[in-house]
Amino acid sequence: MISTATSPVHTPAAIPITVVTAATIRSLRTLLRSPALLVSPLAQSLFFLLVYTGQLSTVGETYLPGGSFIAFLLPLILVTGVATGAGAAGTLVHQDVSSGYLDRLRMAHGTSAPFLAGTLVATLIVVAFQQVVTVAGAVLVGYRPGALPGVVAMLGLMLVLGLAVALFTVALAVRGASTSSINLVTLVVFGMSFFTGFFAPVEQLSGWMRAVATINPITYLVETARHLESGAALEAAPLATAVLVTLLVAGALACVLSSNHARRNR
Amino acid sequence: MPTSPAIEIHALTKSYGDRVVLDDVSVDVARGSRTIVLGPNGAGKSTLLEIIATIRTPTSGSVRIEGHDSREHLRDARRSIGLTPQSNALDPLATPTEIFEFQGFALGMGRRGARERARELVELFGLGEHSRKRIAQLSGGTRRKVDLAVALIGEPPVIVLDEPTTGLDPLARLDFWNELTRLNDSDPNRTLLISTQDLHEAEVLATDIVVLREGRVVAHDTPDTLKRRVGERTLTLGLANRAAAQHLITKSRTAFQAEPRAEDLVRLALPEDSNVLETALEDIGAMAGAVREIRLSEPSLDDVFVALASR
Repeated sequence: MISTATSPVHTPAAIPITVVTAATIRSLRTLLRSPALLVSPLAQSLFFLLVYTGQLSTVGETYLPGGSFIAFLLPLILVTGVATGAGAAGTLVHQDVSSGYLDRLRMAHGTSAPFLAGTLVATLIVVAFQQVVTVAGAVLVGYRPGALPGVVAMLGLMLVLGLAVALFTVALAVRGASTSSINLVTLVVFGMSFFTGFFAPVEQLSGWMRAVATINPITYLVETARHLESGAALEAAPLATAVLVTLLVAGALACVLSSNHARRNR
Repeated sequence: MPTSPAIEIHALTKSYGDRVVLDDVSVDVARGSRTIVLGPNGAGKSTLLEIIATIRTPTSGSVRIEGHDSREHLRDARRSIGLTPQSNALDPLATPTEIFEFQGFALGMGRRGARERARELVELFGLGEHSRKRIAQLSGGTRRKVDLAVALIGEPPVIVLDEPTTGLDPLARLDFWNELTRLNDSDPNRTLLISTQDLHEAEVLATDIVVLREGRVVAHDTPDTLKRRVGERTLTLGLANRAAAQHLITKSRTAFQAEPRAEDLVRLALPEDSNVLETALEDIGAMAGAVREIRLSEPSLDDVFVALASR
């Protein structure tokens, strides 16, 4: 029986967090139903883990006196995994923008912010899961974690990087960029991670690679991650903090500017 | 019963740089009507509907939905509208139930309210067997039903549909038209605003038609009035032979004319005065034995479209 009420439904305005929670659940569901988005970053990380440790662990341990090559390599593998996994946020938002679904939600709620926030949270949950599975995979090939708080702190740092990557991809998606443009964010972070002390400490690199690694902001994130995991002194932490804060602020600003651009051009 | 228009558009203009998409559009959409916006590609139909639905902002001018100005009282205006966009604006990986519930959350419903409303809509649109399937698995016709149902979650008094049956097969289209007519008939205060290029769809659904051309309203009236504006009804008779045709032309009290391409056909243009038709039928009755064929035709919406909407 069709309701004959024609006055619009006036419900008390929902507490925003309720809508964010619903949006997070919805985005999580979408991610779980998108095997490519869920599995690819994980498969990539595990693949690198296997290949690099299998091919290079014997060589690597020669220039890491007393150290574990897997432990040395793991933060970089986590960074590349984060770069790929966090990009899913942009992919989800792009789908909603191009189909008009985000417009529909914005019309219903008044703003699209809770839905974008839900997508970010859901992506970070999945990235955290992928990171934990990667660490578990590393354990299977010989990695022996340091103290649990250190490992958790390392994963926390990766999640913050993941949030920054996700913010940039969401900003591009809101602005109406194509999927290939959105994927450039992932590609840039992924590519930059190889110009760090990927297989060897920076001080053991030479020539242009050492110069590039020295100025590469990802280097300091990786160094700090390694120090957190091993319990060593956090010499690179101030620079790593500055890098992360800069990336987060820039990512958030990009989202705001993109939203304003989209609003002006409607 | 309130008689104010459901939608009031005043001096609406939308331009992107030098390109003017809507030019000084002023239209009132009657409450309870099924108003069709007709126009060729690029006339501005979708832009007009999107501005009314508050998805786009006008360059100038105003829109009022159920008395709420869409700029000053945006929230109230939005709560008064349900939109079914041109393409399926749905999450392809979600089920209809999930989409309805989520839309309910977005509208500010609590969990229980959203679930109840989702159940109502599943039942209302006969989506029971599809309610747990993902949108990507549904047929085009079923997806459009889901799209329409989403527009109804908040029970808005105004439903805006942008070319709702594009891409549907004839049976699915007919089913959809029946849904729209049922919605409109079930509530005299519910207004449907529909854009289409399908003249048959306009013929079936319209109580009012707005004709857009190059961003301007060139006509706004009932279908019958628009048809009479572009042409007149015609009575065509096929008679036994040329002599019978000539006899009728000569003896009739009305102005039958010979049809140039067929000597046994005659034609009478019918003005609004019903006496002319009555007189003609009396004259025809006097020579009924010679009549082989009788046909009453009137301008169609195709004629309206060609005369008003095309360049």
